[in-house]
Amino acid sequence: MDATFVTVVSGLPRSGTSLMMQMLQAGGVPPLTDELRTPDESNPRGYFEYEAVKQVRTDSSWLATARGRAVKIIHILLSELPNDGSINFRVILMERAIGEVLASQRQMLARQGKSAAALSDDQLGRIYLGQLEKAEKFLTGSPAFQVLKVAHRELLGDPAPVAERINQFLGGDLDLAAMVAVVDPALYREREI
Amino acid sequence: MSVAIAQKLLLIGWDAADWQMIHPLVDAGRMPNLARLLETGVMGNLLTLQPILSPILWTSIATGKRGYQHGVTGFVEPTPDGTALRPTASSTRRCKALWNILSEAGKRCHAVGWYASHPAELINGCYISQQFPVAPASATPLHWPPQPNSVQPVALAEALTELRLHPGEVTGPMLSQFIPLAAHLDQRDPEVRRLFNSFAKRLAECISLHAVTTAVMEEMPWDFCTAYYEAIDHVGHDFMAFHPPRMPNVRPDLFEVFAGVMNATYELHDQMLGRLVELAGSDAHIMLVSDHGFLNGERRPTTEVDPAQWHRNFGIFLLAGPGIKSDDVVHGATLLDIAPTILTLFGLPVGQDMEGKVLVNVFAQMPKIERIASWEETLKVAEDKEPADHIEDDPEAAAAALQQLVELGYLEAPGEDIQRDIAKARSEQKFNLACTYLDGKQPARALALGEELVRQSPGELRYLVLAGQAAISAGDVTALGRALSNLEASYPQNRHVLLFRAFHHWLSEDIAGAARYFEEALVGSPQDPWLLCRIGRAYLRLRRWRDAEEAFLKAIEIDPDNAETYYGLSVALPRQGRLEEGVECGLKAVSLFHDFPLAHFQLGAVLSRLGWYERSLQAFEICLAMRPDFALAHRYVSRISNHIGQTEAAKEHRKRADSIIEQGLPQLAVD
Repeated sequence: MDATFVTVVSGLPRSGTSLMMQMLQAGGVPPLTDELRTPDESNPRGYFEYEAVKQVRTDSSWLATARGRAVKIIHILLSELPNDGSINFRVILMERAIGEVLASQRQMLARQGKSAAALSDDQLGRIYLGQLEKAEKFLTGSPAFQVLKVAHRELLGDPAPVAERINQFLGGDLDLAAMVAVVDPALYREREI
Repeated sequence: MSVAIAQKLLLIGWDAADWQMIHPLVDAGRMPNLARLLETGVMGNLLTLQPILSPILWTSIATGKRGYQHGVTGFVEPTPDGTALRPTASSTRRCKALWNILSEAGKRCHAVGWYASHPAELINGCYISQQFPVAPASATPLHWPPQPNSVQPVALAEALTELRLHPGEVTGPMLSQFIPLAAHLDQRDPEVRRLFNSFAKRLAECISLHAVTTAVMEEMPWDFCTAYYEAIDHVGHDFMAFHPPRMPNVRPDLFEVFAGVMNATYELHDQMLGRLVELAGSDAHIMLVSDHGFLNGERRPTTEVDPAQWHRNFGIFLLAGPGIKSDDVVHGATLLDIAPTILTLFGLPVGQDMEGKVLVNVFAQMPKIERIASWEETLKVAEDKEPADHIEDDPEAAAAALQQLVELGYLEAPGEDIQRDIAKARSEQKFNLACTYLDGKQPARALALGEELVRQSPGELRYLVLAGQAAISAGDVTALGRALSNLEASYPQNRHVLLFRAFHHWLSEDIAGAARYFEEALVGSPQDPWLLCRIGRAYLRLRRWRDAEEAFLKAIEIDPDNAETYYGLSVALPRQGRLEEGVECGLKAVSLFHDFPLAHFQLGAVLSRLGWYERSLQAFEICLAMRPDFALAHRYVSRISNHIGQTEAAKEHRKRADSIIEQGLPQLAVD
């Protein structure tokens, strides 16, 4: 794996970021994770998270150790990444129908016994999409970031070509078969018809 | 694309610069570089927007849009993860600024130090954010790493970093050029120390930005460059209190030492201006603007007030260069006119979503103005006249969305102190947003936000007043009644109680009752020109022409730049048979505030009484351009057109007037 850049997997929570992390791991990109968050019903194969990401605004020293690895960063924290070119990033931005994202978040919160925001789907959806728009604007505003968008539905429906695109995006050294093998359509819940 | 008049344009921003401070210095030969530009260019007042807060205003200058359109609504905002506050970021702006538009059009652009400009954006040139020259508390002259994301291209950061001046490097001799009697003060006095440290900081930041600006201008070719200086405002907030004449609340010892600081600051800016103009070259256009003025005479506050209350409604405008009139004055310019005018100078179309106008009167030859729907890719063309409902502007909704991400485990929950600070910042943003709606003639939206703020914080005076003001603008008697009750319950002695009562009577068509309350309010604030105008307007409605004239004249004595006073006189004087004087006042009103349809209407009416029909029609034309559904104006135009034999036009306007009346469209109330 090329160790000159950091691979970032991002998107709205429940847009397929954990799945992508699994694919990358299977394909040969070591994840940066502390495994603090263990697998559960919402993510039976694990979250692949790194707690230090949440403090990236005040402490980004861990980024230096992320070169050559994949790290999951929620969309809203992307703008805290340095865009001055000191580190280069290749960002895989997961996209999923907003209705599916919201439904999946609700399910996850319900499983955890927590409450969802007191907002309508329309309101929450628009806020999330606005956040995503800002994040994308930030990413396209600097040559430090290369971005590949991956549609969740397409990934679940036909993972092979998607895996190939990811492989090309990340330099071409990945184990495609292993990546494709990770995708299990049975995990595609809250699917919109 | 039209032919470009400008090949190169330097847009200089002097935050809070005020002609009232500049003119005496120019006359005394102490600002020679500005004097030369005045001789060769066009100057005028530049009307600000409400609320008078610099991040909002400078973003409006750069985008041609109001706060509720561009999205910058305050000095600080929560970070995206909701765990802290930060200065409002460039990424919060949701529309293109001049440097984005001109870059897209292939122009080489440098944007240096503009307000709300961090992090640095990628443009066709060099971008240096506002944070670049700011030394954090931890920085020392020897160890001051560049702020991340403050320079694009990144390769320039190291070289530009060398040009910065740390406040600790500002020496006594440097300070003494601005404060020659500094040694007269006891530096152990905490207030003295604070003032010296503050001035050193502002001076260092100013010099740093100037050094960086001149470096990029000199080293990298450009077609458009911004150079923004905020020192006049920051220094003003500390030192304008000491500007002569001494105010009764000011310590004599501090006055003696600091009396010359403001003038010295302006002189420094003139020196820097000279270098900028030299670097720009003789074929460049130079535009100098400020976002607002600064109180500097008898109307300066004498007690502790919100800093924005030191701001004056009129900033400065100056434009010089090829194809621009020379030694001339432009009237009626506003902040929103800057972007359209610059785009026209470059031969580029103006977005229809830019509310401002091209300042055509600055051009030696009338420019060709082209329009497009918008420079934004995704904006719907405004058949829908309502501004987009940006849910992300709703602080509570945004907070709720973030909380969901915390609940999902993707973000950290902020500590309680931070949560309070963030809640306060969000309320501030909402308040400012409401003010931008009110200023942008969207009172219903302002009212909705105002009433939300009152529900959240029932005892907050500003919110109570805002809700009332919005209700008045909206003509909503019921909402005004609510606002009045809420205000009386919490602040029964507050002057706005009388004012809201006055307006309640006014909106209920009891003008005499309104006048009584305004007069009662005047007892507590005899020097309030706004209140004098309210009284004057009431007297106009009551046909007490002489009393109205007196009220407006008193207001002019206090505030000679108040357009409403001249409008009022343009009504009162003709009613007393003084038609020519009425015309003079009408012209003065529209020169101070162009976007004043009633003033243009009144001017047209008086001109027609004098038999100056062509000029009268011009005035009505301007009025109707602003208010196309003003039936009475159409009737006047019809009558005058008939009188001068333009029968087709007469018929058209008559028909239009009839149609408007039939449709029952809302009309301006004529005094």
